[in-house]
Amino acid sequence: MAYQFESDASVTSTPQRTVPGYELAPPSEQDLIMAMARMVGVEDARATWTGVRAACGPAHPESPMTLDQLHSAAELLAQRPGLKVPARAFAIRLNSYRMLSNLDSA
Amino acid sequence: MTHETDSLHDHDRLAEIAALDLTNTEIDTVLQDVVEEAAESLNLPQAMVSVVLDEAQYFAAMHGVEGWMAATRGTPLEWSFCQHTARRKEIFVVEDATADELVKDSPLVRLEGQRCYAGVPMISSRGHVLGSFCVAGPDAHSFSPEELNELRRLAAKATARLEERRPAA
Repeated sequence: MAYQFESDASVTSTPQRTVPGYELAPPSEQDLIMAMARMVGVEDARATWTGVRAACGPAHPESPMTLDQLHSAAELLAQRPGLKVPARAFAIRLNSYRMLSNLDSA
Repeated sequence: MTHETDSLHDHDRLAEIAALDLTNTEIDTVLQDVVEEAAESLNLPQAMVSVVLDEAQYFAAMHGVEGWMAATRGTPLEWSFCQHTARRKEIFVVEDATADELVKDSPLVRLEGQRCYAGVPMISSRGHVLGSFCVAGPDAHSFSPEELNELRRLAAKATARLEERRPAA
């Protein structure tokens, strides 16, 4: 069975349901920043994130990011040698959530 | 996601995974014959090289994995059997996951039907645990000493191939 990651416009700052049984919530922007900070330190993580958010995030800096935007951010971070490990882990968690949510709603 | 102090969050370990470029999708080609040999030798449907990242396991090479886990090439870390192999840095065997305290509540057991598992830690030449070379299946299974030795042999073979990818100093 071939699966496709479906686009959705969910945002990360509002409460989101977990996948029943799996109890998996979507990873958040804050989760990714914390994971980045473990690799490059808090200040560098924040500085990097500011640039990535500007490239991938919503036009308004205060607006929450959608899952699509978070996915794009993880893809961008995966190109950076020092951040590709947390970026890949984040993408797996995000894609797991999306896949299982789609299966649950199918 | 996990945020407590965790040996799997060790900066140098994660940097080693990055240095060896273990999240590169081309590794599946590099190690495909080894995971296939593991599944065949131990007569189990699944064999994987699971790179244990900070918050997820990533299937750098896999045989017999289907559905959403094949599409995502991994799972959240807290569901994985391989996290235990990596933390222990020694072989981790589960003959019947439904009776194993460490993994019985994992969705991989409750909902995905994983029942038996054996994983050998993959440790780099610099002493960092990279992940687990493992086999798994949907039925309870007792692993013989010969089977575990074969798994160790193949894990060493796979780890050596990953080391070959280390950039020259």
